[in-house]
Amino acid sequence: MRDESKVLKQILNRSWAVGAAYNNVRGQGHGAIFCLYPLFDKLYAKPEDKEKKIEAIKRHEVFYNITPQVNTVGLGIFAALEEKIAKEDENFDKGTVNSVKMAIMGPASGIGDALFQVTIKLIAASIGLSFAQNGSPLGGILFFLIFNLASFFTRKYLLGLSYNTGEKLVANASESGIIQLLTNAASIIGLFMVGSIVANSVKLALAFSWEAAGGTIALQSFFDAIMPNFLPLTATLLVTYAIKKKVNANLIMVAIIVLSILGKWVGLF
Amino acid sequence: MFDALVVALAYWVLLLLYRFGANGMADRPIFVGPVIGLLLGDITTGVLIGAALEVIYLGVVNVGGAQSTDTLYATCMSVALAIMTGASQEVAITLGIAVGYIGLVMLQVTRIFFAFMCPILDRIAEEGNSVKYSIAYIAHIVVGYGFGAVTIFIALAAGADATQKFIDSLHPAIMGGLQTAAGLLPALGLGILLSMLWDNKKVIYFFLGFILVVYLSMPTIALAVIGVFLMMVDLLRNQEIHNVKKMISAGNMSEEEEFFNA
Repeated sequence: MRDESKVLKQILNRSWAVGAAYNNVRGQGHGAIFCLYPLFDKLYAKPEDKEKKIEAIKRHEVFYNITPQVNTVGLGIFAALEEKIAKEDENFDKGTVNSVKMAIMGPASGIGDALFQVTIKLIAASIGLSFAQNGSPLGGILFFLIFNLASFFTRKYLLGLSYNTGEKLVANASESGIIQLLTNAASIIGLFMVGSIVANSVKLALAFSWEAAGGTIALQSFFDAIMPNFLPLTATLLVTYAIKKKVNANLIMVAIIVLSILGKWVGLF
Repeated sequence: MFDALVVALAYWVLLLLYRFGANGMADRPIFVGPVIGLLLGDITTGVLIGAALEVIYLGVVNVGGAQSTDTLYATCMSVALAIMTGASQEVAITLGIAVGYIGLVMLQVTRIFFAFMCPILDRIAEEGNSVKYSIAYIAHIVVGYGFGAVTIFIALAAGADATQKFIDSLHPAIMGGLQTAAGLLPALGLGILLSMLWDNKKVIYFFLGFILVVYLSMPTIALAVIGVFLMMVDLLRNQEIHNVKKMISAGNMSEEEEFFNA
């Protein structure tokens, strides 16, 4: 057990770099070999086992890709399976490693992306932004720390879980419906935070006004009467609608810039 | 010339920090802005441009290795242009967004380089020497991410003066329009996120977040805590529903549970 936890610690530390060489041929394949190398060194320490060690390394020369922040969910299972292979050798179906690999990549990345690329990034960013928008460099530091502490502890927890549960983890997770539950909950906090950021960050006000009986009427005052930040909200919903209708995001960006310049030209903004 | 070199090196180091840090967000404007600002001696400009770009790029997510622009490249260039040429923040941001796509092109060059290195790394891995493989793995990554930094150096060393002349010649309506656009572009980043998360049954949470800020000016930390509460309520409720469903399908409900679900 002592020995195992030392190797697991090495895998955890190396898992920071698992996605560093991402490419279209192997994905994180060489990163996975980099992470698992300490394990191979331990399992096949004797010189006469070198053939088997190379065989094990060759098993992992395939495409592999899981969201980096939750990557150990795969690495832990591979470590458990590689240990089984090293111990039982002939009786164990070695193809299991790569069939498990194929099975876990999709679901693990699905939940990993929803959690980290959207939810945790949003929470960290909105806290960071409340400092940064006032000019404080603390915002960037807080953002970076919150995200990476979450990333590290998630990977630490998942490595232990997946190493101990082994290939059963994939079946358990889909059977218990936990993936569905978590993705669902993550989207709630995501929507909530996006709403607050829209209110704080999108800015649009009209400069247009006209003379009427006894004074000047500003067009903006009509919208302010409906709700504060009514125009930024409308603009955001319009963009969302366009993206859901599959309008290219770069096209929308160009449209925003062109419309802003034209609007300024005619005195609308 | 010296500033251009500093920014190019900072880009390289931050990109490696991002890639070697489990995609740890060292490429995000809110983090990059202050770093470049500090290196060029104007940290406040860096922080403010970083915050503005962060919201615009909130919708940019790197999923499954796919990327739609290089936020690190855009931030480095925006902050550098603002400080080195004295351009207004809004103009620097718009220019930075435009050149961000160069970073994306250079990323493809890097990935092609990595793909070419695959057979070589296979051969080294099969030698069975852990240290040798680790060095090869790390070294080829360090080299691979240097390509984009070279283009930053060239662009800033050669282009800063030309950019300044270009900015000075712009019509006031264009300058003012870019200012409006800088306020409006966050709608794009947030719109992309919103369209990913959109669910007719859950969109009330979006409006709740919006309302709490515009009417109550609630601080962000409080919002984050409320968000976690809302998420927990939903998680626990769904878990219960899930368990009940499982019991029904297993057909082993106790009398009490039957009573409550009648």
